Amino acid sequence: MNVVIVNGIDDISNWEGHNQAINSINHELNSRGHKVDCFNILDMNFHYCQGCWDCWTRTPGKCRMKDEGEVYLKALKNVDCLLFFSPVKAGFVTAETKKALDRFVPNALPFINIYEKECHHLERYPKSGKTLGVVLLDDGSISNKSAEIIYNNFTRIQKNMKINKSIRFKLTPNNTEELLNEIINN
Amino acid sequence: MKLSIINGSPRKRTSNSTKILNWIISGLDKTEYDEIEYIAEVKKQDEILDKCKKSDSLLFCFPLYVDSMPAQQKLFFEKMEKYKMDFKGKTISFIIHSGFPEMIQSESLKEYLEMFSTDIMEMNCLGVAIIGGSEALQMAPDQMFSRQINELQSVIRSIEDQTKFPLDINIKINKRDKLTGFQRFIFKINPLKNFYWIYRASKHPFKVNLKDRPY
Repeated sequence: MNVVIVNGIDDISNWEGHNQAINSINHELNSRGHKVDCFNILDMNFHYCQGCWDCWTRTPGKCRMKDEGEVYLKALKNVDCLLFFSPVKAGFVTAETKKALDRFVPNALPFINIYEKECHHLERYPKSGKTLGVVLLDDGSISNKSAEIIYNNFTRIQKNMKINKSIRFKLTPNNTEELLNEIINN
Repeated sequence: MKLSIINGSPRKRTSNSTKILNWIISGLDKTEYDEIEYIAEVKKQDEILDKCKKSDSLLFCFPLYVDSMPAQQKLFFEKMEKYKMDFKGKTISFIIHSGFPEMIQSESLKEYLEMFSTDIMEMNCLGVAIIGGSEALQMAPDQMFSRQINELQSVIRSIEDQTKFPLDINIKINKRDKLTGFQRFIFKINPLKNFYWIYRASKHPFKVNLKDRPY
């Protein structure tokens, strides 16, 4: 299966153990024959979405920003399992994680239709994902309310991306095996 | 009372958020405020944050981006959290908008904003107003949004008097949470629903295939 890992850590020095855990998940999935594309947003030349709508009305499907966002969009096209790994900051996923979420826009069409009784954008590529996961990096400080709000928000995103399955997980440096099983068995 | 007005739209000055904020500003009478700050100019965020620390009240306006706030806006919230003691007890209000006609699309973000301002920042959240159907705001005349503009008068009064937004404000602005079965049917068969995008694409001197798959 094709897995995309988005690593939204915004300060490696505070999250070394968790970062290693993400790397080991990447390594482990690879060694079990899965194709993994891992995007460490902080290390990439990756801009914020500018809201220009060029990706919808001028160069459909392509972002105006000439950066590594293009590789990311290409990877999203064929993804089976899309996983966002993020610390929780100010009660939500980090701005780095959100940056990657915002750059998903070119893969949707501007056109809206009714899906599950709500208005949703049509997808540019057929069936561009089966599982959407949000993995919160747990240092013991995530409030239940924050986690619930983030999980609910990802349920909305899942609906907008028209993805059926979900993964919701709190990752510590010690429970990578549990997450791996969930990814593989999902 | 000093109010900081913050535009969180990545489209900055030409955004729908600017238009909405100008509706609000035009109704402010007894509130002291500086010009609108644009936090999508990320390099200016620290400077804007310093100004906000000196205000009594903050007003944010931004669009729904992939089901929550734009990333640049989230970055600003992270910066605010670092200085929460400078904001504790102050008032904060939000106007969020999206192209979707239904309120339900923005409710998850509303829930987050209330939690962020109340639980995390220990600020007094006056309210979160939701405006749907904002995509055509730029090209449509204000008259098309007369109901929204009218209902926003109570948001302006709340900001001026530093009181909570009316509890039914979002129902008044948007009428309902979700579309009715009949509205969904009308939406499905409406040949004009994609007009805005086709119109925008037609403004380019070259032919554009909106459904193109470049990768």
